[in-house]
Amino acid sequence: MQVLKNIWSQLHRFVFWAIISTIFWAWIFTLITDAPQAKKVTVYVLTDSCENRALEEALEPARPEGIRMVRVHPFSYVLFDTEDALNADLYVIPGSQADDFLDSFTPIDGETLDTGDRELFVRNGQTYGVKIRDGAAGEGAASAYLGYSPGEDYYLFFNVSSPHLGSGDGAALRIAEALLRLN
Amino acid sequence: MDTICEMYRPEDLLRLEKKIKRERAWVWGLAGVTLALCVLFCCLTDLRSVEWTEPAALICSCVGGWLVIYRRLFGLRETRFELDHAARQAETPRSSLTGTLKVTGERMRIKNSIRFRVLLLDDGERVRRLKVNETRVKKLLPFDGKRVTVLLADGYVAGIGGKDAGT
Repeated sequence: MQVLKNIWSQLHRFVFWAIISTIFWAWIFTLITDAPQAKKVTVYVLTDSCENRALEEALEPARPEGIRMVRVHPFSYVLFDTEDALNADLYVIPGSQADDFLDSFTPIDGETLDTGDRELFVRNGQTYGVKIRDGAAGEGAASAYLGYSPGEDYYLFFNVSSPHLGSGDGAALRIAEALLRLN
Repeated sequence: MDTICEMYRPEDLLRLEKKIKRERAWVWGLAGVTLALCVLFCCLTDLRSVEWTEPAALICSCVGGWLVIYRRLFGLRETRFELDHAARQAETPRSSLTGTLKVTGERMRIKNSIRFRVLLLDDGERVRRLKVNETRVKKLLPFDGKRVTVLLADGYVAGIGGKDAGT
């Protein structure tokens, strides 16, 4: 009883410590598990669900030299870090919403990207994206990790400001190819 | 005047000093173990394990920190207050008052000092309010309701003395 009384009398100190601990360890673990934009390839996916940790691991073998990590975030993550979403390298977005974001995507006509026989997303005579999932056939890449909406086509796009395209180290292109190859 | 009941004897001061060392060792030990565990969780962290290492480090840090705060506030600090109080009593000249002692249930605390219990001393003309360290009250209980000569130092009861003490 005396212990509870003592704790109650100094509750503000215990609460303050819990808050400080939470902020401090969140910061430390972000430092450990994150990398600057130049050292990572970030993929944002706008799907119904996303096994992002598992997908990151599946893409890990395709990680080029000089890149420390591949991060995959569902779009809900934008709530926590808008800047991260704006600086992402790749986006997986439903075809029905792609035109809304077209200004953020870069044409990939000149890029050395192996798309196989996949359908391309073409606007104004330029290729912006690669179909990653065919809604009609119900088949798509990385289906084990991404929960696509039934009947919806999905495309893979590249951020216009990504430093990992052909003019940079090309890491985003290699990760994109690996993503398109996943089952 | 003979003192028949001292609140603090010289060995009490030594005991308090030892207790402070023990409490300090506890606090530093707990802090060290907590930090070591958190560092261990950091070392174990990768993209997969972060899902459990981060909450584990947070829980460890919170619980360890709370224990350190508790031991420091209610172990180390209280003992230090008591040692300071005992040392002041030993250094301060004493005065005496005679009357009938009553131990009340009224507890008080001065900021950054010991908790004390209020005593009433009725000398026949007026009732005086005296203080005694809360941890020493049990030494005065045998004299509750009896006529005693109280030795005061630094405003607190330092002992019971006098020829008619306890009669």
